[in-house]
Amino acid sequence: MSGSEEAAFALDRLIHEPNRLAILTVLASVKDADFVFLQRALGLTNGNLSSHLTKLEDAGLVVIEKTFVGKKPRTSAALTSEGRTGIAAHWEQLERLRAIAVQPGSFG
Amino acid sequence: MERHDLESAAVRSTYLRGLLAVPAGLVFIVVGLGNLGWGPLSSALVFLGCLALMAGAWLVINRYYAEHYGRVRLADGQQVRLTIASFLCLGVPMIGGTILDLRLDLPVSLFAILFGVGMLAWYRLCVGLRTDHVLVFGALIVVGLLPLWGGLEDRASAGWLPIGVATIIVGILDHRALARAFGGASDRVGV
Repeated sequence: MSGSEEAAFALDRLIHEPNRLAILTVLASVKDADFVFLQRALGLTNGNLSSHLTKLEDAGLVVIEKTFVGKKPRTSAALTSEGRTGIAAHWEQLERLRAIAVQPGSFG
Repeated sequence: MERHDLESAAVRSTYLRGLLAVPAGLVFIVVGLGNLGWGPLSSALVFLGCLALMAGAWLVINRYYAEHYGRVRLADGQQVRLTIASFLCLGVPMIGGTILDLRLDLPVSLFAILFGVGMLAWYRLCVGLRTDHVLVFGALIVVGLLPLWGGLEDRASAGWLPIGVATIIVGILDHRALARAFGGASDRVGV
């Protein structure tokens, strides 16, 4: 496979990790969501979700806001415009790869 | 999890918070009984007290859901689509059913029938229609079709009663569906 072909099939590894892909996909359908909702929707532990959100925040794909509701801390997350573009492009790429994979004779 | 399941998680989590429908259903019943002048509910003070109690219950349940299932704000486009669907599937049938019941004077309750049909359409479009929705709202439509409404003096008010019962039953079933999809309130997540 040539370098340009490899680039055409490349997937962003940061986004493609299954839990991060799930987090970004859920966030793509909302304005923002809090930590409890994301945990419920994805079935992740506190530590696991925190760690993935931190990585996504460091990459500029997600913005995290910490506030207080009464005396209780509340963490909510939302996609940045870069995150929104990134997840849409990633799904497009996956669809493209899937279409290629199901073409007859695509694997020799 | 499939892409569609992930993308619809926020809508399902928001609209399957069915215990919120319990005070709403009780309000429907209180409104119906109050308008019919039933017992203590014929007193305006008792009627308003009941409504205040239901509003308080709604707030407590809403807080329970926020604490156990989290808070989520739907995207603007999605919120607009759901609002339009809610108006067309619920608002129009309720207003239309009441007016038609008054104008046509048929022996059936068009209010209850159209509410049942509207709710089926709403679930089909917004959350996902389940068999129990079809059974409960189908039963409501059958009750509305029974030819026993003609003799009633205030058909619209009587119509609120089966609508309230159906709303409460579906609310409890929706809550169970929420617990199946997102875990029970006492479940530890991700363990």
